[in-house]
Amino acid sequence: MRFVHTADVHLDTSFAGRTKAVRRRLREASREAFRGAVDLAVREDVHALLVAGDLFDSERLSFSTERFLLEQARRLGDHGIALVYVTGNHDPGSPDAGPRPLPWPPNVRVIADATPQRIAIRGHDGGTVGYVTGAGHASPKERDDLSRRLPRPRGELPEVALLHTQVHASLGSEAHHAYAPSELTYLTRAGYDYWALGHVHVRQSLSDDPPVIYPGNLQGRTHADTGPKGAYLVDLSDRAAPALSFRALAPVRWETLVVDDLQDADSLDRLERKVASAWSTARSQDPSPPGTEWMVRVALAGPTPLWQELRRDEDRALLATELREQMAVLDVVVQADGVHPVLSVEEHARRPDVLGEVLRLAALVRRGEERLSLDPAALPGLGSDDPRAMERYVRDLLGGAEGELAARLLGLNEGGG
Amino acid sequence: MRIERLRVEAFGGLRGVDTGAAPLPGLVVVAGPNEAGKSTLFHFLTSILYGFYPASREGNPYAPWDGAEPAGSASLRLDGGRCVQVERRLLSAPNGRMESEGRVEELRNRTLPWAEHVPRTVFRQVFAVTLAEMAGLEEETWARVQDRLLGAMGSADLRPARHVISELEREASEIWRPTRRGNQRARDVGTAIRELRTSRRDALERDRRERELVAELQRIRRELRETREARQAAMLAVDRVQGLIPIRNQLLRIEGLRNDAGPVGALADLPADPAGALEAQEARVRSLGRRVEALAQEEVEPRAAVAALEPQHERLLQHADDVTAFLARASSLASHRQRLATLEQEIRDLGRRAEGAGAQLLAEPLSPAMDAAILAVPVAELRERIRAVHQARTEAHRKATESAQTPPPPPLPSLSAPAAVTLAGLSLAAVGWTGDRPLVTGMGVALLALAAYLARGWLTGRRRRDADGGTVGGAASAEPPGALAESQREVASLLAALPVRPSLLADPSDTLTANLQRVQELLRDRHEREEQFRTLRQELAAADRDAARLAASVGRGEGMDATALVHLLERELRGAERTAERASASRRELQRLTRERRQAEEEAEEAQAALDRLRARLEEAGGGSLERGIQTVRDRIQARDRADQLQDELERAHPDLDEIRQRIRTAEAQGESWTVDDDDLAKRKAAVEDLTQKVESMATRAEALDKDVTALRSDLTVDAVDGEIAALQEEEAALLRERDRRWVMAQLLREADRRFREEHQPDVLRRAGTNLSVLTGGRYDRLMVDESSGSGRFQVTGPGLPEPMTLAPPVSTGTLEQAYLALRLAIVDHLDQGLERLPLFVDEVLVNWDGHRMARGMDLLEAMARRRQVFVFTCHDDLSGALASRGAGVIRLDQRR
Repeated sequence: MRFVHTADVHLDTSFAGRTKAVRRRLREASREAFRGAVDLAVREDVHALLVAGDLFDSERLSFSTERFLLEQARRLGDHGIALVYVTGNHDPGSPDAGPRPLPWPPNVRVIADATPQRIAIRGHDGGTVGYVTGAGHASPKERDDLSRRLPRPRGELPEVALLHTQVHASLGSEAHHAYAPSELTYLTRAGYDYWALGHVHVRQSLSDDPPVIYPGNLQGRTHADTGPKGAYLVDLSDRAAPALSFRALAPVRWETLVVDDLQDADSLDRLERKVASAWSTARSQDPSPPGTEWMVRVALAGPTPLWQELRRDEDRALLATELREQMAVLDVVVQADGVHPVLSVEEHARRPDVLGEVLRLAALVRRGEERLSLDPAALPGLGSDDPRAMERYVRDLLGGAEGELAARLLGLNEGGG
Repeated sequence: MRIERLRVEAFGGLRGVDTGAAPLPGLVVVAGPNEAGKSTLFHFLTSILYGFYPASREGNPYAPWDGAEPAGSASLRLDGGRCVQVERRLLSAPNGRMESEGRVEELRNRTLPWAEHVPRTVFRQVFAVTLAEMAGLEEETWARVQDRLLGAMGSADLRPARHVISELEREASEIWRPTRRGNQRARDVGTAIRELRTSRRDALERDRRERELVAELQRIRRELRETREARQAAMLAVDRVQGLIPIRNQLLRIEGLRNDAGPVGALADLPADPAGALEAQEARVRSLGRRVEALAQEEVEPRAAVAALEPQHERLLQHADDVTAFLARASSLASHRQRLATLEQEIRDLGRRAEGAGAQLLAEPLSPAMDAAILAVPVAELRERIRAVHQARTEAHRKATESAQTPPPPPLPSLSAPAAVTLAGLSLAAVGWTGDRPLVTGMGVALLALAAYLARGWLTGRRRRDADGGTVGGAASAEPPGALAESQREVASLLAALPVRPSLLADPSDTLTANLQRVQELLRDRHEREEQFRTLRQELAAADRDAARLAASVGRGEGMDATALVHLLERELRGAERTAERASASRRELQRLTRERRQAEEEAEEAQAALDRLRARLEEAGGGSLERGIQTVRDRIQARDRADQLQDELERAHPDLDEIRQRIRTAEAQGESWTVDDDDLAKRKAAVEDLTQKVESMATRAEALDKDVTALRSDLTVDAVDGEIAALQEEEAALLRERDRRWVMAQLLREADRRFREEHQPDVLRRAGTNLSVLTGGRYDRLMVDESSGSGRFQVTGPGLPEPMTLAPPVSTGTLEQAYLALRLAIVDHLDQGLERLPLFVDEVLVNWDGHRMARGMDLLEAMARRRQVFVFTCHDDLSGALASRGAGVIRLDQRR
């Protein structure tokens, strides 16, 4: 049995790009990536395309996306390829919680609740070449370990398990809610030839024997989704030696470029050149296929004479626009939380005055050795009343704060003194 | 700093006040009734230290009403003992100067350098508080006091922490604050998000509307397709009436004609005019027969020419190359035979001439046996030896007079050996010559040379004996001398093989040489001719043998000699060649004629067969009658051709004939009637019209729906609105995060500032506590600031208090005054600690106190006045008297001033 394994397509994601054009391009990119997966399935003449949950981003699917999806499903059907899709937490199967049912063509099998289904995958001659067994999320907050509901595989043919789950200790799982958690040890002993998983957006192989695979999301959605994104092409013709290959399909890549050597950047021009040079170096070390578009977050940090300019929204927006041109990318956002004036925080921290006091205190708070007595309600950006979350938030906020506090107390900022 | 003298020219209600030349002491009482000008005097002192404020005469409340300029001066003694004179005057603009140690400096309205460490507002509120002010020390002033206090920690380069805190909090509040007052960027974004959510509802409505429209569009398109099909059917019916029926009729006629023609295959090979075709075929059969006969006649002559070529001709022609080669060779045979005869004659002539020349040389007749010996004599050598004889003879003459003894000659050898060898050599040479065997001839010549050598030896011996005998016999004068004899023997030895005339040998000369040379030349010529003769004779013999072999090969001229055979073969070969050429040409002609004849025969057979077939087909069509058959076939073919013609016309008129035919078949299959009247036709046309209108209406509706859908899609979609919302939410989150960052920095700084104050305030508060303890007699012993609540309010503690007591009502006014005086004294000491100590002004500060506390208060002021000048303002004579009794200077102000 040969198939393409995708997950977390998140069609109709509400991208938060800077401009309408960028947001539109990102929405198109999600569709292009899915079309790419279908192209791959057709080109490689596979028997099935598997979607391990979160095909849609929310319960509402736009009309145009509906039509697109049905068209792609029909394309697969025209080539005798099955589309097997289990629902996830973003697109739960319950009609009152998830997207409305679509008029899928006959080659599509949707597993919309936790009741496992074992689906025979047909070869082009009509004979069965293997089975896909899966269970879906009926609600957006599925708490059960669905993997334990799947029946023990039987028979001579390859058996694939399809699930939207969070395997404990998988890389990047901390960024996701622990819906439908499962245990790797159970998965590896369950008797399936391949575990086609979804939910965690970081591509990873949790086990080689049998393969337990997260392909990652099909198209990156935020700056957290860095690296090539795509799907796995899997061949289980030889059950003892599964053949897996990752195929990059996302037309847009998200990357973060950290530039923290800014001491000599005393003009925006020089800063732009420095960032553009760092980008060229980064790309030469991580080449990508021609035509790849980039969403780049430029994270500026460290001491710089331009720290005040970089604190201003309008200056950062201007810089981002200039950088987008220079770097020839789809879009750039400039993040400058970590910049501070060119001064020695360590030296000032030794002063026997209020400046020394505040710098020492800031260091203690950032290290978690001191806590500020704050009311979470006074922090509208926190969005949580969890004290630990507030602590993390405050520590995060104070990144680069020592330099700025020192500059303000010393009257080095505009309007200071 | 101590004010030693004050002079007020005009300031408010004060005129001409002068404290006098005697320096004012540390403790000064300014006494006077209410409104006597005590506060005015305080502001005058403030103006001396800090300049006029406000700095315009119009705005300054102390500009005298009578229009005089506010002006005055003061003599100051600094803590270091230095004297400074200060004058200030408020003209249209402030004017001021100071003089110290002979140096004058323009002040304009600047603060005195020695007062800069205490801002004017702090000075006014800390150094010169009224009773009311003391109880309500403004928060701002308190903060500045603290700033100054903490600034004394050596951080003069820092902005006050509270400034930075308020700056950060202001910036944070510009982004977001809990209340909705004022502009807040984050809230603006939030408002935009809410507006977008309204737009999203609209977009959702458009999405829903789009789905409805698309569904309706699909339905209308489906109905449109069905209606078009119905209209097509109706049009087909009308078409049938208007166009299909005539075409159908025509097709039916064509079909009838094809039925008359019968199966097309049966007519395929029959001519349109059977009678004419029959006649033409018969004529062709006849013509072909004649052609065959003519060609057979033409074959006779070449056939005879071919037969004329007989086997003997062919044999001769087979050996044509040999014959030709022999003929070419035979052309030289005649000249060879003639040359042979000539050579034979020349040989005989040369033989005779050689014999004549030989007679001049030899003592015997020349014989063939001598040829080899003669030819073997080297003429040049002979000539040299004869020359040697001549020289010896000349030498002999020269020595004629000399006589010499010579030994006896040796015995003469036998002549039999040379003779036997000569005989054997001659025999071999003769055999070789006659037998044409050069080897044998050579051997004979060799033996003859050997015989000549032996004969020479014999002759030499004989001559020597003869010479010796002459000498011995007394005839020595007739014998040649030795050298001559020797040279003569040399000549003789060279010719020893030849019977040379003795006379020639006796006196050898050039004649001998010439004779010998002549004989040799003649012999050589003869030998050459003989060789040529033998060669020619051998060639002729070979030619004869070849002629015999050729004759045997060709079977002609056997027994003939070569010359005769040449003539015969030459003649016969030419004849054979001519015959063969004719036969070859005739053979080709015959082949051509035969091929044509056979072709004509085949054509004739085919024509006959075709004729038979045509006749049989026609007879078959006519039921055995040829005439009827001809008629029947003609009729069927005409029907077929007519059908083809009609079909062709129909196809030209209707290129879509296949489609029309299909429509006809469809209509027939549907059982449509092919007989339609006018009413029926009109109804059908009306139905088509209705359907056409319906189609147009639906198409218009579909187009409108399509436009509506396009318009809906061009408007903001839910995706796009969601994206904008997401973008704004991201912006809002970033703003809130930035707001929180600044706010947290403010809180961090506030906390650090608090900690710093807590660490460093105690020293001030301890001094104040000490002062308070002195003033209250130990009832209260500690003053502190309430930092925990963030109010900054002062508290006191004491042995009798269970917990700190906030300095606010209902605490008594006296206690409040004592606490604030204690604090004030501590603060001023800290504010200018290490700097110039500014004068302290207190106003009616002790009047509400009981006697004990008043006394302790005066003690405290007195102690203070020892380090800092203290001015006590009072309208109470008791107080002024009590202070004066403690050494205080008194400035008395009258009410009328």
